[in-house]
Amino acid sequence: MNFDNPDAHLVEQKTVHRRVYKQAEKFIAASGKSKVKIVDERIWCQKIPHPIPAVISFSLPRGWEESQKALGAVPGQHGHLYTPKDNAKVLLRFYCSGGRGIPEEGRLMRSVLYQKGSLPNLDDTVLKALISQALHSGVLSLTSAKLIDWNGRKVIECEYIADAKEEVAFDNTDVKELKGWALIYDNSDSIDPKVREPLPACIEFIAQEPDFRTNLQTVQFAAKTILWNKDWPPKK
Amino acid sequence: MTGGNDQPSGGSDKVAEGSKIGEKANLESSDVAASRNASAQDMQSVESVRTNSSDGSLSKYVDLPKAADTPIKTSIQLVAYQDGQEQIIDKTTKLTPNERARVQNDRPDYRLMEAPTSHEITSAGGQAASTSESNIPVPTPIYKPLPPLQAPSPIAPEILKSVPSPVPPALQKFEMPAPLPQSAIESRPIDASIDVAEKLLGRAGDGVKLDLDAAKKRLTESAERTISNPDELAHFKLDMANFEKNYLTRTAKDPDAAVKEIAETMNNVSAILEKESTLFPDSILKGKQLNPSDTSFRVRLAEEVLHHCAEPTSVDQGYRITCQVEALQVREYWRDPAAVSKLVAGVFQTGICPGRNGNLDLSALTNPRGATLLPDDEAAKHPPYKGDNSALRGYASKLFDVAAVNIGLQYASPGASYTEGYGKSCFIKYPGELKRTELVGEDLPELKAEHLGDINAKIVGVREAGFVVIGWPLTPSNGNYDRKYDAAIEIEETNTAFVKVRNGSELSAKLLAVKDMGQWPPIISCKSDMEPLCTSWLNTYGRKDWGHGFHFVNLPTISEDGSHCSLDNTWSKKSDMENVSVEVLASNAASVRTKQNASYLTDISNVQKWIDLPNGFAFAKNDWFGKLAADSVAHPQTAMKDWVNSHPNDTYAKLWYQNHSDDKDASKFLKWMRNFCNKYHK
Repeated sequence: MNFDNPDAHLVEQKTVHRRVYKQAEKFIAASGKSKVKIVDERIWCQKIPHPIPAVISFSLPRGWEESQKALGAVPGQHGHLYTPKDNAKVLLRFYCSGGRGIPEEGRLMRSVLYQKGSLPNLDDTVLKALISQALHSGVLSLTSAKLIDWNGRKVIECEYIADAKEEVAFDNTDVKELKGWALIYDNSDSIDPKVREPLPACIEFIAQEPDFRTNLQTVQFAAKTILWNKDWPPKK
Repeated sequence: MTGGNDQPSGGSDKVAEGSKIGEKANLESSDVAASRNASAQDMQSVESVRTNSSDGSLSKYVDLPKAADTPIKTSIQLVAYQDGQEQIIDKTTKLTPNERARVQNDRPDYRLMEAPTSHEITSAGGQAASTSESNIPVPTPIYKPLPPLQAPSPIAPEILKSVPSPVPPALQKFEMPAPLPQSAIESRPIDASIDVAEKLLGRAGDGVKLDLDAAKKRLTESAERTISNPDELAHFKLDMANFEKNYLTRTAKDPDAAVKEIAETMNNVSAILEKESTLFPDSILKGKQLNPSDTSFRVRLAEEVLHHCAEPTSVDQGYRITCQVEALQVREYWRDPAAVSKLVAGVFQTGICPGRNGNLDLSALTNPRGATLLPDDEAAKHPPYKGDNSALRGYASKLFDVAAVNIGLQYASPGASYTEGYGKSCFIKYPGELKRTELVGEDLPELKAEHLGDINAKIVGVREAGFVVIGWPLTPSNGNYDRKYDAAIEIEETNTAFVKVRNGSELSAKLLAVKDMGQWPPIISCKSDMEPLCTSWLNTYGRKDWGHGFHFVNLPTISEDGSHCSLDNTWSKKSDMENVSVEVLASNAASVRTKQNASYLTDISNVQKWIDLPNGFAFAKNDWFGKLAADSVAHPQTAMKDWVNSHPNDTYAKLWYQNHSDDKDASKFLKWMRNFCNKYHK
């Protein structure tokens, strides 16, 4: 083995942005110049109970599984939770709150995701409330937030400190805070009845600090395999 | 006897040697109002039978109530002695031709609208036994004007005895009847004339009026001292006035009790304003505010409670899955604002609420994890006096929900506790499990319609009957009508709260009876994916298929003829509906969902054994009940426990004791078994 470069034996893919094999279990995806990684099970999000809003499909990292189905108790809520098979304290969640927030927040989210080229200069409290309304986890404080393009869709990418009390996986532990990374996007599959505009949804990843750092790249890679629906931006 | 639910005595109903037919009907019905009143009295008297008889004796059936003014006898029971045991030979709903003719000849201007005929199921022994008796009797017939030349036509008993097959509801093909003109629907009580309130207040005693004046003065002073925002103060005072007017208009209580209720409520709200919570001092609550300049949560709590008292339908469930207790909350703000304000104030101040066996300390739920009793994200965003439009759940509703669900869980799953996260998540922690379970289904899995009666009884202090409307029997989509299932439900104490309906005309009649007996507003369990809720979701969310599973709503008003009603949906004000056809509502009323419940499955297997065994119950009862009854007299403190310990194979007694640990002397057990025996024993 080449100890200077442990990955030297891996074949390098050059300009493959997305490659989809027909066999779902052998889907190979790559992004940019990264090394080839084999991921298990392509999730076709519109064909499962409680479809994941706005996402046609994505590839779940190898060794991960769906640990909770139909995360969403009230009409309009959707959610699916995925964890590594060997670590139930690392959580990847696809979630839509179902809206019903206050109209001001809905309008602000709409303006951020559709009109502005970047996040407006918001007060920290307002920004935290804006992001919290789309997430399932309880946000204690925001670390960073920016508006970026993710596979052709405008999303808010943010990192934050999450409240461990909100997560069942951390019951009976001394853990109080978790690290979180999330993509917040508009969910054009569901319409907010009040403002008649799409609801925000999110892909959030939360874990304790060591697990967070270990798995962040894997999760981001899986998120890069997301195939968005083609209804974006929605026609007015 | 349970069979007597539909059978007002009109005289003695004691069983003699040999066979005996029950007394004939006393058919002195005078008018519609008297008829409904009698129905209400009958329902209440049945309840008194259930709650008062506790002598444990099994040598006779429960005495029937003496309802001297009962207008119509709709049930006749044939009872015989066989092998020394009382045997119910025939029990069916009918009137003899002479009785029918007498009614119609006495009242030539009216036509008797037949109450829904009961289903009869032929037992294995070939005997017909009615299965229609519910705790709520068959509704009193309604009289309608008759075409002038139509002669009365007696109905042959054979027709009445025929066994109607349950009609599967043609849910998909159901066409919504044309709505009534708006003028035909009663105006909402909150908009009712102030004259009604003034008249009621005028009839109240001077003592309670003085108390009310003192309570109003105290609350006004407290509000002026603590509410700094002039707009909010103006709203608060408006709510005070509206509460007094609206409550006096909508209540069924007598003037003194109504005025006392208002005074107590105002004092409870004053207590919230005046006293800082020992559980959550203002400094902690301030940290939960979105902005430091927002109105403090203690003041907002008082404002919300008073606002809900003034307008009970302003209660909203927000993101949570607590529709059943939310509907109960609307009903309790409507009827017993003093009790619900006391509960909210108590939970806020100390975390204590009434529990199944004494008080329940909810503050333990906040430690070490979660912030169940603290204002959550929604409560923080719930704007004062704009809550009706915000479709968010306020802090007052949150405190009620947490308390009510935890009270209900003590019956549904003893030892379990319900907590909520700061965001949108809800959890149940089951006894013996280390971790909470996040609720991800459509509703609270443990809490069912039958537990509403328990929760209501603990909060208002009285076990009320006949206020939860459910579909009955089970619909084909939910399991066919099942005698064993019926029996298993029947023996449960909390089913006194149920109003079981099979069709629209029955629902209309029963809703009017519920109103007349002072149990308004009822709660109804509906299928979320069918009308009328589909239209409700369409109006609110733009999608008919928004809802799934079951949903509980209130019916705030009903038309005079009982054909249409309004519907209060706690999924925001926008989802409320007017002019809802009762026919449609009945066709999609949801049955109680107890089939999934393991304890009921156990019940059913036991019940099946009792029913299937030839005279099994008859043989067993003298021995089993007799010994247990003797034990309960000899050792009232330990009878049930001792019995369970000494009879490990008696699974039903064991199950009952697990679920009714307060029933130490087995009196409740005996009472309900006796009811069961009367109803299902062949």
